[in-house]
Amino acid sequence: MRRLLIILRREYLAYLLTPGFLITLVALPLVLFASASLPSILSRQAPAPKVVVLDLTGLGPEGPGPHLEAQIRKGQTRNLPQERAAVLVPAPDGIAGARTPEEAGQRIQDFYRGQNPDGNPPAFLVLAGKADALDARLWTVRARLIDLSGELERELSDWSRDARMRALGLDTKQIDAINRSGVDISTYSPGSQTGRVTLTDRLPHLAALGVSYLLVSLILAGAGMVLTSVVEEKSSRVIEVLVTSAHPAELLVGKVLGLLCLFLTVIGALAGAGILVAGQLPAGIARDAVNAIFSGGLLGWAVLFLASGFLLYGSIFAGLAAFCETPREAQSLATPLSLFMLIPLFLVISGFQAPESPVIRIAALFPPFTPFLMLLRIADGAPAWEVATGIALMAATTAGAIWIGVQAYRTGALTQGSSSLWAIFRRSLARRA
Amino acid sequence: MAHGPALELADVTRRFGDRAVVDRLSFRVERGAVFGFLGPNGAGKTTTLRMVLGLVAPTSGRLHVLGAADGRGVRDRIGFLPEERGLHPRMTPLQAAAFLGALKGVPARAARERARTLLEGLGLGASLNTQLRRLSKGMAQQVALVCTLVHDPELLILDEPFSGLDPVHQQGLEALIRERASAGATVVFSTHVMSHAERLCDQVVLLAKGRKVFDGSVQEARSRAPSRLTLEGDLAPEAISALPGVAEVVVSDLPGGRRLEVWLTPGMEAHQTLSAAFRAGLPIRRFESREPGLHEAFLLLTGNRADLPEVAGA
Repeated sequence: MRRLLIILRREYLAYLLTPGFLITLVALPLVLFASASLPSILSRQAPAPKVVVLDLTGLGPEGPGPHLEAQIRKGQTRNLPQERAAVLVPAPDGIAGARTPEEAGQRIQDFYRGQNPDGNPPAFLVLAGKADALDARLWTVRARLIDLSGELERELSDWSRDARMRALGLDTKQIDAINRSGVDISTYSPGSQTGRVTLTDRLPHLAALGVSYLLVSLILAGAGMVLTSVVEEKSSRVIEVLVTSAHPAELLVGKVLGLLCLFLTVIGALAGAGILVAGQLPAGIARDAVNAIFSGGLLGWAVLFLASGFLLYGSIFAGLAAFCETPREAQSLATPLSLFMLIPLFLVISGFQAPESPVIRIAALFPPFTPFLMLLRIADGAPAWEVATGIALMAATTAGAIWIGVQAYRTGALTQGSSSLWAIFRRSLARRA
Repeated sequence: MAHGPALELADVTRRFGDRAVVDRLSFRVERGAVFGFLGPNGAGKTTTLRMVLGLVAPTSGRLHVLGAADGRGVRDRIGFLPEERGLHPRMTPLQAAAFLGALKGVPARAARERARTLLEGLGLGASLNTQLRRLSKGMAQQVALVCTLVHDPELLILDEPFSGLDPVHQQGLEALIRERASAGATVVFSTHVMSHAERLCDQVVLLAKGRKVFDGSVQEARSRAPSRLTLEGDLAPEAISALPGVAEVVVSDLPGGRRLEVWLTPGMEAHQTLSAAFRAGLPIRRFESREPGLHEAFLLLTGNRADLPEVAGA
């Protein structure tokens, strides 16, 4: 135990007292903030989309064209909430006189041929037909995953519904009353603070998702650091001295725990920053979101699963790294393992959408995935037996992984030159620790 | 102080697959001795040392290290310097010594003080706080040696300790080994450079192809090798071959005569053969007697020809 603590301390300080770590510690919150806000910032920088409405319905001021133009002028039409609202522009020369959608389409294509696609040429909404059979075609210079069609479709549906109700003889008051008569469903749950489920009640799930993502990232990064550290020790022959000074289990576990302490320092720093931020935020969703991370034991569970995940994956990576002579060999070995670790990432996404699904419930009990999925299950109110089973299996598997890792570490550490991985593995199992 | 030998091996064998790297090896090293573990490359020296340290399990046989079944039980009492010296390159000599000393049970402050004394004694006082990656290879090797000694071990195991050191540092290491032995430590070192063993060792074991071919003192090892006489003159090889104790004669021509390299049977004194030659009135113009060294004994005992040039670095 004494030796384990000495190794833990060395590993911890070896990383802690480096400029790179201190820079990371300061930069990490900034990077997290930037990655969360950058898409919105970039969207705001995009130019406002321009729209030309060509109403060929012949319905005059009561037609869909003037209705849409009025809505666009209100500044409510946009691709995404954070983007700039669309602006109405007059039809370019040569397009306004079209009589059919096909003719308009031909003219619009001719118009686009002379335009620079990056110059933000306007989109054209061509309207034809009648209120009960409206033909609406949106022309854009480039097909995009998200465009104005959704928003315009909603506006046109409103116009079409109103027009049809007017045709049935309803007056404006009656139409407004009907439009306001929508039904909102309120969700209630015994687990909710007030009975009625609010966004605040759903925040723990979101917080669990965020923390699960963080765990995947940290464990993946930590396992990579263990791998690099062991390979460096082997290539510099430090490992030969170490294995005669301490038990391989002390070396391996001390190394992994040293790195775990390093990551706990990062989490501690982030948590401290979070508490400070939460104290400064006005009451509201943002404050509730920060509080959701620090309440309900989420952070405690996160530390537990971080530790177990670190020991599990760290031991495996350390054992494998001991067989590598160079960082390049270790990198090629780590690539398939890193790909394997993408599986929990995908499971976390599925787990958030359906945490009670049988696949997620079983996967959460399966130790390689427990550290990442059990948090989501706990946030969803998993029964105590399920959590206890997951933790017990995780503990047993981690102990097994440490044992195998120690055998592999010991054998690999003393193996020099190329050798069959399988032969070394067999030797390691036959060798005492 | 415990009783019994510092190290004892009894019929120890280590196989890798079908190949016996160490084959039924037995020897014992008394406490306080300087023990040379000799043999050509691939003889099984490092594997034996690893078994002693408990890093590799013997396939069969028994070991006793400071009274324990192997080195794992007495880690804190052993100092090991591997052939490939390695320390964390970003550590300073003081940090490395404190870290490895702490692993061996020495408080960090005491380890630092002892390391400082040893490093300054080796002329590395100006580099105490320089990262190891910035030191020369020779200096880093000195630091590795200090890290091996920092906990004042009872048993020092040095695997090819002279490898890569310049003559000045080799001399310093020899002095250090003598100093540790005089302080009561047992020193076991492997080498294939005979001159160091010849100057330092109380006892040597020669290993060839995993098997022990000699176990005894340096003097006893030398006596296994034949003495050699070089004779010049107008000499008939047949007359020389007929002299007492002559095993083999190799003739080469010289202007106005011959040079004969005369190998004597082991144990035969050169002056006896030479006296017989003078008594027989043989026309010897010049003679030179050469006593066998450990180098010749090594070559002979390991099955190599004795007229091979001495290995590099000797």
